[in-house]
Amino acid sequence: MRFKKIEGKKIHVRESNKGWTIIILPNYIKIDCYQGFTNIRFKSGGISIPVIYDNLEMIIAIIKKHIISYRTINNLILIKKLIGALND
Amino acid sequence: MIEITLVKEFKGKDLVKIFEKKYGSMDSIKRVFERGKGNVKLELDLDDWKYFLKHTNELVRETKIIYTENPEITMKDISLLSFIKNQKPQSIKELADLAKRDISTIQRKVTILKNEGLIEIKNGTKNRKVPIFNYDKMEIAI
Repeated sequence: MRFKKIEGKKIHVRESNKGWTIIILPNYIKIDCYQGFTNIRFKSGGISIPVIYDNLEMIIAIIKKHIISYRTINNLILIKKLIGALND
Repeated sequence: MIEITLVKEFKGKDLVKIFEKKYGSMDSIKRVFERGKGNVKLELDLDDWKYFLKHTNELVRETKIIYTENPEITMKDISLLSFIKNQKPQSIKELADLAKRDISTIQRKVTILKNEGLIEIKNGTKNRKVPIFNYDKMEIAI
């Protein structure tokens, strides 16, 4: 198996009274709670996919676990985890 | 693999200043966003810029989680971060003087810290490079 570099993977979180947003780089995945429910998007104006979790810490923990386990960010697997279609 | 978490808290007006320095004007971020074909980070910054212009005193908390493979960071470098944060040196030479270390060593260390995403380098007066570390908390996990 080819050794995957984890370098360059970043999670940005911004919190305020407005709500919270997570941006995952370099894939430019955005997860936020601004529409009254937690949703994930891959592109501005793109399809908004509802996430089953609404707790920020829990979502960050899922993303961290995903990055550490796969040593990369697999968009499809990460979506499946966040919408509850894939368990560990 | 090492996970570094950096946390900072500031007010909405400070975030507006950061956007002004980063993008220039709201028109220029709008232009970059339109060219960026759906860049979600630009979308977030543009939305927040509009929001925090009206909510200047609202508290904002930013967390940055970085993953790195072989960080060339030592305890001496952590003390450099402390000098940068607390003494606010206005040049690399000033930082070397504060740390009582050779300027070429400090220059190399500053490049490493920048490449790891831990500090920013701003242009100061007379072509000076000003190192910036403006986080309140730093956590290192393995």
